[in-house]
Amino acid sequence: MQAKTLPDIAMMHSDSLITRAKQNDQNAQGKLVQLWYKRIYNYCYKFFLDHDLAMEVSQKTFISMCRNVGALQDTGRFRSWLYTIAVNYCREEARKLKNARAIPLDNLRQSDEENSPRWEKSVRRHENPERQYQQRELADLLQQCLMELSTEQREVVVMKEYEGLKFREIAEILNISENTVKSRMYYGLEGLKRILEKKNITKETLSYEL
Amino acid sequence: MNFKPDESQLMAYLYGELDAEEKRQVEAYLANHPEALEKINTLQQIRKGLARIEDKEVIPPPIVWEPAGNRLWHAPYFKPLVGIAASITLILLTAWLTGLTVRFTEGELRIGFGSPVNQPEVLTASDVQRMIAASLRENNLALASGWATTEQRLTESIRQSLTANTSVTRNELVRQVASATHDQVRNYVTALQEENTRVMKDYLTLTANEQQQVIEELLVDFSRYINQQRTNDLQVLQTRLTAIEQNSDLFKQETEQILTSIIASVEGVNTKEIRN
Repeated sequence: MQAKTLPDIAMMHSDSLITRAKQNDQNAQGKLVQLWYKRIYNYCYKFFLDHDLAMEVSQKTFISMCRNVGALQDTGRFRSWLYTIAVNYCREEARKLKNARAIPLDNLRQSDEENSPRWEKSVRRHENPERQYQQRELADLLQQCLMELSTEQREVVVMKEYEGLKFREIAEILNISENTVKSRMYYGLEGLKRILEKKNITKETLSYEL
Repeated sequence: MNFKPDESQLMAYLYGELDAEEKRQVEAYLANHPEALEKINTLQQIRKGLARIEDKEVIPPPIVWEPAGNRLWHAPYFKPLVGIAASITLILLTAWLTGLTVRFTEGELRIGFGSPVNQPEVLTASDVQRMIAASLRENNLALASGWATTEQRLTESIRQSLTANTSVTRNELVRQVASATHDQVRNYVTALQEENTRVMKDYLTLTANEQQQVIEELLVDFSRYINQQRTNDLQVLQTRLTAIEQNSDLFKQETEQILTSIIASVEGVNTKEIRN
């Protein structure tokens, strides 16, 4: 992940912000939320593939962050600390979903991809509609493939691919060894390969009009 | 040079997290092992594909800071406890307002509204027995009286009907018979006699005719039989006669033959004698 936008650059230099937030500076805490909300939301979204759940977990994460940031020892570890909170809330929510007896209507239609209401979401108006449609189609398909991975593999793949965390950081967040992280990553990618083959998504499709 | 990168090293290589020395080793290995390179390339492709999923834009919701003094209300289990307490208070209040009384004495639970009302006296077993006996007696008496009256009524009605039947019908018949005149009786009798004779006559004529017919048939049959018998006898005679005739013919022939043989022998003797 390269720093492209202003918030990204700001994120890199957020040490002083964190220090102020630790002293219960609500303004600094608010700024931290502004900076990190998109990252945490996107992590959660890729974990659940559901906007509402992602919003809920992100909000819980940041409320928890604001409450407990004072207890954070090492400012340099803020990023992995924040992801740890998010990962735990995600797991908790996933457990609740698993135990819930009621199934949302959206999930019932998941197999019927053509009619899935998820096609309708996240419209970016400034792009060429056709290209945008194809892009979204493939992206949605890929996200569904991600959802087919096991929770453990999905966590690692999303953190590595989209959050740009180092293997060492992921190991710290998940509280497992670095080798385990790499192994999960390897099997996650292998699993994705199999899922893509099953869905008839070939190399050509992936590299088409990149 | 038996270096073979494991999964972790391959992953680290794929994500550029190897140090220079290890990276060089892996690259050397990949250069010599095209199948491993192919694998890395495939994974690279998948990574490229994954990169097509873009981040979703999202607006962080404003986080409202709660005032510090209201911590108790947000403590865990506080709300449910308050809720339970409120419900109990409400139930007690309603009970007090409606004058609800709940008593539990000697294994008996009583729930009532207002002041308690004394229960009417409870019947004992002997009371019930007595009541049953009295009602049975009454019942028996009523039944007996009913029986007597019905019996009386029945006998009365039977007697009435009997007297009515016998006296009335007999008297009526006798009176009718007596009222019939002598002539009427005579007429009736003659009519009866006439009818009888007629019937007898018919019967006799009918039987006579039938007898005649039967006898005629019998005679005809008999004559036929006689005829048949005669022809049979004649045929028998005929056959016998022809048999006799044949026999006599045969006999005649035989005698002739004998005669000729005798004659021949006699002639032979004669000639011999003559020669001699």
